[in-house]
Amino acid sequence: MNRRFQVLKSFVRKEILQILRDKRMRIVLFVAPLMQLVIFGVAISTETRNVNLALFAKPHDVLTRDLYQRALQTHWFIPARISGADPFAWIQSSEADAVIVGPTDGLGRSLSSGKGTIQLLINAQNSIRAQAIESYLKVIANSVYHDADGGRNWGGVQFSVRALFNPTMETSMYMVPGVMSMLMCLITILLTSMSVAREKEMGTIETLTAAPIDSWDLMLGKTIPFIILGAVQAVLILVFAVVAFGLPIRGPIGFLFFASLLMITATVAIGLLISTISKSQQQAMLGGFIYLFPSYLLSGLMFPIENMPIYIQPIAYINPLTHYIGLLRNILLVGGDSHYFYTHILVLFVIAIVISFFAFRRFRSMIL
Amino acid sequence: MKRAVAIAKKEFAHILRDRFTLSMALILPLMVVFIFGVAIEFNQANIPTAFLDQDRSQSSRQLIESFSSSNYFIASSIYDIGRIIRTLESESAKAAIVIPPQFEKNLLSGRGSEVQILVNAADNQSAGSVLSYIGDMQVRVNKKLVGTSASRFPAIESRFLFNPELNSKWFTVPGLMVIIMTMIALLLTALTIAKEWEFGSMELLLSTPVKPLEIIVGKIAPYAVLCFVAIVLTYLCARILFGVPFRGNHLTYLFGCFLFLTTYLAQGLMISVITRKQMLAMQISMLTGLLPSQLLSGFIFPIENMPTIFQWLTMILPARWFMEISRDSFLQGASFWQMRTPFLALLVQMILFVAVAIRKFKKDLEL
Repeated sequence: MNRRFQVLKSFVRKEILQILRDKRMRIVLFVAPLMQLVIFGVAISTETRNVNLALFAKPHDVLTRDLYQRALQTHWFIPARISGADPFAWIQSSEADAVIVGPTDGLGRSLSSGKGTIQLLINAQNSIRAQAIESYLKVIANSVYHDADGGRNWGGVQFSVRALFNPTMETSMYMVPGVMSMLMCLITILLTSMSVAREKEMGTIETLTAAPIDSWDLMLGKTIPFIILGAVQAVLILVFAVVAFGLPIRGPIGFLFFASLLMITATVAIGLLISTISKSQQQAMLGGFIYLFPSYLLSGLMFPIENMPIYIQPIAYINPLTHYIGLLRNILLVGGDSHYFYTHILVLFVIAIVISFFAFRRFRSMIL
Repeated sequence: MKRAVAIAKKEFAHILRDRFTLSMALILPLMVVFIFGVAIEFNQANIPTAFLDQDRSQSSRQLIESFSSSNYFIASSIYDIGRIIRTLESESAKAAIVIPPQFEKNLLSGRGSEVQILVNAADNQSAGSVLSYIGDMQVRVNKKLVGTSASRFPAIESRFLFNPELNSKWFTVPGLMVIIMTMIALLLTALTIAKEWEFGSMELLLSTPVKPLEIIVGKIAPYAVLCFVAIVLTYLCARILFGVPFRGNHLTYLFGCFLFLTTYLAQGLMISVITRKQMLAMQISMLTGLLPSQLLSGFIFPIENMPTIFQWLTMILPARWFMEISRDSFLQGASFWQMRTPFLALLVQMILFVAVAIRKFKKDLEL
């Protein structure tokens, strides 16, 4: 037993040394993810902003002008720089994202005649953005008429919105856990699968199988280094996110680490599984992508799962990333609910065990 | 030239023999198109929403009903104010709507009433959707409950240009061209050439009378062809399966594809020369190519939403410019002249990348 442990230890050590020997690899593994986190965390925003808004209305149309001015006062809209006099051309040339078109005889007059209509022209290439622009302007329009009325006859329903857990609706708070799990997945899966594929490609796998160690040791020796690297990376990214972005850790940190460990085990096992079916590093990498792509897209990382067609949803729920991202967001931002933690950790645990089982079986039959 | 062709032939044979790589290179694009075309829907519907009705009047029920009949929201009821936060924490609802006591009374007396909406902003995506539906809901609810007369409240009539049905597939599928080309052009090229270095067979090739440039052209050409096959496949999927219109000029678009492809092939070559190792080449092309082209090119997250400094930063990404060309060609039917900025930017980048890649390659040989 002791000897076995020694063998395993030296195996793990060799593997880690081999990866970290290359200075560029060290940078790629430990510095690049932090840069990525900063860039994606800060740059990516889901809130529609900086909409180039233009106005097409008669000079005396005070109400429509008021609407336009109010829209510009919010942080959503900026005035469009336009040339020419055709509102369609403004949008066609991307000078404006949206144009408010007032009625031909002015809004005030057409209102008193009983049918005032303001037209909005919106570039709907991006359908979500287009919807958000419409909704913003509707809210602003309501306030214009409300005030134009002197507020006297207004007796309607107003909505006041409170954003919980992330009050300023900062996208970085939402994206950082996502990007974190994405980077972890990417690096562990691809490194593991390519490392084993490399042995196959170089022919050194035969040497390894001929060595006096059993398949267990070989498999552990090929996976433990990547679990360690993944764990170090997870801690590094998390600490960095807390320091640089002020990411809160509202829930129990123990759960967080346990969940991360389960997740890394699952991804390393997936990497191993991929390496068993590929013959070269190129194949391993492509195999990794075939797995990673759907796993990112169907994880709720960027696109909510409830939105997917009902027959796709089961795929999303057997995806370990779904549960991990859910847990990360819940533990970090919401601080939440032990029932939620236990359920998702249990699911993650089962997934990790099942994948590891299959990976081990395939790996053993591959080297025997 | 003949020698370049010979190398290209050999590389082709390699790819064709390697069924795995070949099928992956073709399956991957189709899979991505399928997922984006079928599984992912941006326009969020059926947001689970909990209602706390403290008024229990006809008006409050009407309010809840206008929410649940809007098909943006799925309503459930909670009866205890203390449960609101718990409901949101356990994520069984994305939003909670609190109707105050005296809601109906205040409405009828003309004082107006305020309804509070709590959203779980840890999930920005859903929270954003809730916010963007509120303008609409406010108009609907007021019409129903207060019956505001048409004369005082002008209707807002929106015309959605280029995508009148707000079909989010029209937005994503043209963007997929960029993603797929990045995957094949950048990653496969970087890996193949890094492999030659890693196995030392590049030195062998270089010692033959074949000129370095011929080697490169020969090695890269088959991947360029593969990439074009993938582009055509994606294009056909977009048009036939998802009914995305193509309003621009095919020739112009093809020219854009060519520029973009060359840029990324050159970048792939550069990465392989610098790294000379497959694992490292892969990681670097992921970090400099694939992730930025997905996240910073405006593919899903609009560039306009980014902080100004990042908007500037995205200009160094070829993917950003090609994304613009792709979308404008498909949906907007823009002419070459209208797209001159992205074309010019892409051209400059292509020349730059090719020049640097070739210089780097030549310099490496002299050492």
